[in-house]
Amino acid sequence: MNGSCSKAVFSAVLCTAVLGAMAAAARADTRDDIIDRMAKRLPQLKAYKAEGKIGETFNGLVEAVKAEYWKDETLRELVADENTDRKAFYALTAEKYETTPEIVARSAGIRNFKAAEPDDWLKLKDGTWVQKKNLKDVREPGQEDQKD
Amino acid sequence: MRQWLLVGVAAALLAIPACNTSHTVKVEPVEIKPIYITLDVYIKIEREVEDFFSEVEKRAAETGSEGKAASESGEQK
Repeated sequence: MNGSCSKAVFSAVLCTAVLGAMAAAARADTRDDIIDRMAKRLPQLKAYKAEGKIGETFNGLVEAVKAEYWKDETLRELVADENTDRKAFYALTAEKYETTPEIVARSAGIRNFKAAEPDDWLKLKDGTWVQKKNLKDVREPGQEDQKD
Repeated sequence: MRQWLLVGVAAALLAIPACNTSHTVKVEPVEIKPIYITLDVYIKIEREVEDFFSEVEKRAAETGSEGKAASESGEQK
């Protein structure tokens, strides 16, 4: 009885320690860590962009251009991981400048629209996908936001 | 006639304070400072975002060139 009780206490302590370590690791996600992960992911992301399967959105994220592309598991994971890291950076920056992650994300959206290749697909605020070469004004999403 | 003149003068004297009116208009101070602060923050965020994505591209290029160099050296061996 006494032995099983001490085992249970030990398990509880161990679980707490593991959870604590995980939480600490999550907190220690610095700007540099995010950059590292995104840099490793970038070649694959660019390849998907070149295929026209992944595009940039007005709010600084990436998405599959067509619904059928979501069937690709690698693409799904890539988009999810990329957006998780981007959101983490937006949250970090928002905290630094005492603003909201949405404002940082919109700024990133404008930046990424400007930096996109002519054949890259861009998702506008109204949900439509346009190739960069067919977009009249790359600042369009930001200007729309400022008017809101 | 004289009486009417006196009445007129009295009425004029009574009307003088009515002409002397004063109005206090309070003007709220114009706050320009917060606008500058907001613009400043937007510019800083823009720079931060630009630096971040540039750094990602730079590091990816470095990692790519390192990987390429490593594979090339592997081929030479």
